[in-house]
Amino acid sequence: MPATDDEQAALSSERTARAQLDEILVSRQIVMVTGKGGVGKSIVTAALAMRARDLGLRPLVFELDAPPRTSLFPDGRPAGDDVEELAPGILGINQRSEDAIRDYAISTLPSRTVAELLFENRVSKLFLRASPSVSEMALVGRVAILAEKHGADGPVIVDLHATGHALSLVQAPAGIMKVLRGGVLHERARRIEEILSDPQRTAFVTVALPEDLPVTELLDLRARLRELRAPLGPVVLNGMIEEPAPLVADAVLAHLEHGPLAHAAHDLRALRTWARRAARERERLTAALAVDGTALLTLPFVHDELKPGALAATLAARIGGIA
Amino acid sequence: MSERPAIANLEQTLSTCKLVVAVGSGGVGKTTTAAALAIAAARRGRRCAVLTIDPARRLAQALGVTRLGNEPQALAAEVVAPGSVDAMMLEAPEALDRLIERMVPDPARRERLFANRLYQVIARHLGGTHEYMAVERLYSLVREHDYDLVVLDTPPTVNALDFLDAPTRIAAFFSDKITRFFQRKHDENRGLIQRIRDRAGEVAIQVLGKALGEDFIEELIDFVTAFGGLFAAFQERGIVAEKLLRDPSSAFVVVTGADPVRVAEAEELSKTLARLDLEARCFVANRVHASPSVDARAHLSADDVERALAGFASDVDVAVLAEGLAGAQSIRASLARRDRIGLARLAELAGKKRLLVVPELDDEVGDRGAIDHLIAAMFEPR
Repeated sequence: MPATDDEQAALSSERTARAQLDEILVSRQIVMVTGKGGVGKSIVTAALAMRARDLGLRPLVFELDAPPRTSLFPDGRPAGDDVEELAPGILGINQRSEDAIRDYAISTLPSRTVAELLFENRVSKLFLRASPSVSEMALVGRVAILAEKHGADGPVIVDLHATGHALSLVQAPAGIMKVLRGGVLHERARRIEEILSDPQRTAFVTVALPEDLPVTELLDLRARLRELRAPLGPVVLNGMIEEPAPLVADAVLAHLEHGPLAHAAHDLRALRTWARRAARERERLTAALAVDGTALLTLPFVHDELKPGALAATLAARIGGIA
Repeated sequence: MSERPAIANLEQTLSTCKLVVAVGSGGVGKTTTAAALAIAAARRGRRCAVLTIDPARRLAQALGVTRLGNEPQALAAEVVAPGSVDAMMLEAPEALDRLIERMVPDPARRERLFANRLYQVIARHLGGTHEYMAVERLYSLVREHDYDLVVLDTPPTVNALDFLDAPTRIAAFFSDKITRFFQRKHDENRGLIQRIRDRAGEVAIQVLGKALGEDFIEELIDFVTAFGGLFAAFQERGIVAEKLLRDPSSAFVVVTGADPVRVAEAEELSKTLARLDLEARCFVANRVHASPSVDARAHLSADDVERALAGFASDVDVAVLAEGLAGAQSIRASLARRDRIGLARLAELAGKKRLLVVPELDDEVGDRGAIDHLIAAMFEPR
């Protein structure tokens, strides 16, 4: 069956997205993974890390306040408070935001004594805790420091929280610089802003599910990240489901729903509704992305009751183009 | 579909509580659930407000209102009668400016504050402000308006603690303890004890000055001075909001999915609530997959399909149809099994009295339809 122009374009977009993701993993120091809650950012982050390892790199997965969970990697272990190997060739850390401010201050300020004073003094402690953007700055600061330390071996892949959080992280350096016109922290914020907006060093990979709100939020997020001069990478559409038996008429299913196969027919009809909605959302996303030539990589909905590690491995293979 | 004790509990919550706070991780339908709870209460005759503080602007879509903003928008009477629902979304920079306009009548002083860079950053750039302003908004909705019930939507889980903790932090930040160190000293006649206590502040200013630049401290002092008497007002609001969250007429609703990963997050969240000495009144499990095929073992064959189609005129490819049916059954059964595991854990956590189960919709119904489905499902006895 000859493919239509649309299908050709979609295939070429998928190939471009794969090539871009590989290029990003190989050449960037920081890869920010973001999108609406529940779209599978953590599993996509893990899949990207596995793909990076397949490319001969040694990636570092940076999670923020991740809840206790089983490892995202086959035969791996969950990330802890310090950088350690989570699975062969993959490093990781689960950064607690409450620790981030202290760690960041200690590694940034000219003297450890000043840093410790900041945390021992009851007034400045309260001030730091209460001031907006200090903790955001500390988090991106930690990412930048880890990227400087490990960036040569592989990217730091950051599993960001919901979209609002991604935006406040990106804006934190500018906010700090506006207030602090001099000093070490101003200088540091300027350098971090430079890194975050440098397309040679950083890329933002945005993730959606083929549903109304996640797609809308992804498009909104990309527009705002672009305004903030964040370098945007390709889009990952996770959890795509294909319609089973698309050529079977709805009327046939309606008939079956009143017979002995009622349950199966109902399942097929429900899946059909789901798949058609997904196809519609993918079309909408594709059309919106075509405007500026952004590539789209589609990852399949994996319905086997896989452990997260196996799921990440499946998706990593897809990112690599191995069906 | 919920157990009767849970329905009774929800019924009571919606008809007696003054504040309902929806918390949960991202993408579980928290905003839609918050709207559904307000509408359900309105249909029981109450005058409600629903406030979302999520910067992602989702509530408007779910409610079919063109654009939500700081100003309350009434939902259509046919949706909410006999009660009412005013919906609004918090837009923090605008909200803070407006609040300052109300609190600072002197235009010159107001302008000085608006011109302060620290204020501008706090008002316009920084994420944390949403939490601060939500507390402020909560205060004014409950104190200055006459709603029977306010339903509050919150940012996703990871920030929920920030949000719940915000009143305490606000009260601490705006307490004299902190701010007086940064105020220009007008009065040097303080007692000895006072001056000794100030030592901590002097050290803080020196340390902060080293770390953040002397410039910043100047700016901070300007800011604090311009803010002047507002601190007491902010602190008071923080304290009132904190009391409000802890009031027996306030209830927390944890919204989650039934996927074991989501359930683990809900469990974490209820631990966070417990640490703050708060408790979840209900758990809403959204989009729960169920399928009668969940335990189907027999593999569906082409012959089965042939028999089922007997007498139905169609040129359908029986083999393709059989494969499609079997595939659909397997996917749906696997989702249902996964959710059954999550739901069992959630039932343990929540108990009979607190768990409301909302099945995934198998049909296309639109946003408003989804809210109606949510309401119907929560109140439908299992």
